Amino acid sequence: MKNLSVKEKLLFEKSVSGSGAFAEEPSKLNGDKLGKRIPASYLRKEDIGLPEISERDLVQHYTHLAHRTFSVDANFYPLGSCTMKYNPKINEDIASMEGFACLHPHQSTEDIQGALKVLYHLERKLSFICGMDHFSLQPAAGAHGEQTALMIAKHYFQKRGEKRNKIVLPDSSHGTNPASAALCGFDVVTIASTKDGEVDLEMLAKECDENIAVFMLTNPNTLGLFERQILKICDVVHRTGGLTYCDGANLNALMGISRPGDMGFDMMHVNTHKTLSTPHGGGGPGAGPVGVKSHLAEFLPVPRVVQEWEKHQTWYRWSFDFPNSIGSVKTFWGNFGILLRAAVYIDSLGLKGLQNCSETAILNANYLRKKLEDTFTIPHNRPCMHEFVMTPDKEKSPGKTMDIAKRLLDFGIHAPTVYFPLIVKDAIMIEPTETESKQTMDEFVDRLKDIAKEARTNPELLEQAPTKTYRSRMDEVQAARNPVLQWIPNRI
Amino acid sequence: MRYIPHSPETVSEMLQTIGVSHFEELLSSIPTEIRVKDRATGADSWEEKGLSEIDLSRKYKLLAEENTPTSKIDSYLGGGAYEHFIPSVVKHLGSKPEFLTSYTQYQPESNQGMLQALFEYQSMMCRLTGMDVSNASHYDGGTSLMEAALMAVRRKPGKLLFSTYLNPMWKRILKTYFSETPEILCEVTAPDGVLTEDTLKNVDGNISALIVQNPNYLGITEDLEALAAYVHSKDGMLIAAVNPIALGFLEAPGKLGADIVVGEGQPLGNALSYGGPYFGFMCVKKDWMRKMPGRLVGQTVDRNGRRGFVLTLQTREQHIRREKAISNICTNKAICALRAAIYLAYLGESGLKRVAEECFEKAHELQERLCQIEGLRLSFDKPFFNEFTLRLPKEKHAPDILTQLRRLNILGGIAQEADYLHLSSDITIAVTETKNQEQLDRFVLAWKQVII
Repeated sequence: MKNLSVKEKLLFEKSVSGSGAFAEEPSKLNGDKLGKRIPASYLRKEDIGLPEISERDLVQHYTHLAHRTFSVDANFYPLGSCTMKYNPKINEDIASMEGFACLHPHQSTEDIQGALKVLYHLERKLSFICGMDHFSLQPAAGAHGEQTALMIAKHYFQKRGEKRNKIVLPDSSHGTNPASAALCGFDVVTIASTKDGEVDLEMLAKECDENIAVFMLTNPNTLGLFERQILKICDVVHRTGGLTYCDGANLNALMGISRPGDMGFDMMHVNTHKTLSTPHGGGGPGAGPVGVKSHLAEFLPVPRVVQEWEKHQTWYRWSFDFPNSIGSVKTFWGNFGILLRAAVYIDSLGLKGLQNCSETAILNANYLRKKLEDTFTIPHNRPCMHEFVMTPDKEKSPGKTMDIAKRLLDFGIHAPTVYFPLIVKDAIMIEPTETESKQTMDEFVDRLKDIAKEARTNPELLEQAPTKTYRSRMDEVQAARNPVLQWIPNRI
Repeated sequence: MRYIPHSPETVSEMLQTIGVSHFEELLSSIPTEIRVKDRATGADSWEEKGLSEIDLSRKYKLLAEENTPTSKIDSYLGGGAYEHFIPSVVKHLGSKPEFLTSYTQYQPESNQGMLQALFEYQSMMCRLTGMDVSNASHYDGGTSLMEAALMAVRRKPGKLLFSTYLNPMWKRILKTYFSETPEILCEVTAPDGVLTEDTLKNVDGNISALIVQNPNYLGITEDLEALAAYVHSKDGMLIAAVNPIALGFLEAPGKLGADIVVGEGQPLGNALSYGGPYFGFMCVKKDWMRKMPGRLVGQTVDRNGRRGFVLTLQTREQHIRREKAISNICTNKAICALRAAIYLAYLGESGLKRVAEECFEKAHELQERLCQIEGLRLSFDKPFFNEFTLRLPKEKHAPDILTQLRRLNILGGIAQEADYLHLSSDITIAVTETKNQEQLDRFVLAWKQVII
């Protein structure tokens, strides 16, 4: 083993037998009792192999790890399509109130009226923001929401006695779209976008036949452009009996401005961990509520919260009484703690505030687009919504996309989304969100211009980046070729 | 405006830089007919303006007070979510804003902290379950079970066998996802409360996998080893869905023949939070590494030869393979898995064993005392961990008894009649280390009062 400092060691390497918080306490159970009640063959024969660490060392361990993690709280995080906005602290405080955090999911209706009220009204508010008629709060994430919606579509066509098995989507779509479609047993047809980066209506029309089930689209699309033909797009799909689905990943551009339901979408999901400020948590939990128009409401997952008038007061309860529902897609009722944070966020801003968020997100993205257009190439350079895509410029910023991204890390700025969408070669996708100040963005622009200059004068610097992070560039090829997925003693 | 940093002057300055005289010009690509015109219509009792932080706190405090949390009442509810003590270190370290407000680790150099934490999580889960590979989390127990079932069916099309006493919510999820091939879902009776070869052998045809929840929904421990041997003899896989706390002293399912181990991770340091966010875990044997869904963190080196961690084997995933991906999962439950890792590391080898033993001991003490009350007995006299199912005298209606217990400020358990017609007078009671002697005494006394 190489010499690792304490800071670098894994929990297992710090483990000292007998130093754990519980090490001193003898087992109160004698083997007899266990043995009498549980067959010996069911019991462990050997130790588990968990580390033993003192509380103090454990706190130090995770504090060090926290310091090695870029976060919205500490860094600018212009990750396109991910909406890394500030996550208000009050959301956390409310979610940890005992009256919410200590509720057991099997408690009966009388004991959970407050929780059900939060969920019921969140559904109503989401419906209003999105122009949908009903929402299900059950899905745990965006992709889970997509999958739920596609199952809804399946049941819808089944009930109508139609057999449609084609999902159409543009080549600019998120990877989850085709993956969700395939998981639901659909055939996926990808259509190329126009030179302007939008849906090719003619291509779409060709695919619209008696076999099309759903057209999936992100709007604004992943180039950050609003689909100008959106009304015609939805119309052409509807005319052949298909359904339209809006990937709501980019809802942060639309609140109070334009509603997917009004555009003609039949279904959509919302990523609370993007638009509604719930924290990303290093990869979850999020929540992916699914909204539908009334003709699809009967298929939504069960149970659903219903509101009743009983004994002179409003009463909320879960109902399974939707015989055409697709069923349940998750244990219990959804990611309540996350949905609660989203509800708090909506209330903290009100309609006006939400609109202001979307407007400012658009303002910020356009500001950056304008400030960067001289140094980088912007393939679709027209007013964007909340994000835009640029690429390195052969003359002015000749570096590789990945090198530019890695060099940004040296300045304490998280890299934008890179090499996505696939339709723009070497894409750098930037989404500043509304919570970032002009100063933050100006500094980002300055750093990018510095990097462009380095690319011209000292390209090696970029290829070596990052050098100021805790680790330099990682060997991802080795990781995949020879996977080490758990700690193995003496292997470094 | 809250959370937005620009002054009106800054906004004008930015618009000027952009080269437009009014913000509206930036929205010119949106057809006018679909612009939101009247914000005020349609919203239920929704404040037009946002609430101040004081008003927001007040509003949600009042809503919280309309609930009765388990912190204010003695709860013996289980059924897939368990009230375990959450040590302060788990709360503090698990909610560190650096972890909480970070994104999925697409840039490993700037995310070594979270990556290492997830690698350590994977390592501990492998040890706990006796498996080779753990993913970095799934949505919850039920959805990780569903993904395991999909893996099995992909390997070998055929029937998915499970006990009637599999968590009814998980059964619903399986039914939803396999709605086009309902014939492969095969619910097996368990006359004695547990799965046995006797009833399993009545199922003919190809068997893809046997799903065994251990302990099962009634709290009873199953004979994993025998069941694994049986299903393997039919060339099927054994999917074990386990309670991770029980693995404090129950044998690791990997050593008993399980091919995939999944489960609900909530008991490991995550709040009850009315059913979510929880997380699912999934662990497999090495052969299945490239076929399993979800993020995987792997160890590698940086350019200077120093150890580091990255997301790896991403060619299984949707952002690379699109419709050819193994699963569509993207956002999962990283922070919940982090909490589980901190919880396990804090307890350590001896601590986890202690928690498991305390649950076992208190549950058995309670069961013995309750069964001394006339008319009460175990529904099935089988080994259990921390949850057991009581049968009341025939004339007693389980929900009525629970209502009476509730009046005495006790959440007495789960009435099984809603899910099992034949268990109309059965109540499942879960006991964790959180209950002290005084509470157990109170519970026994309460039962004596309500059962007369």
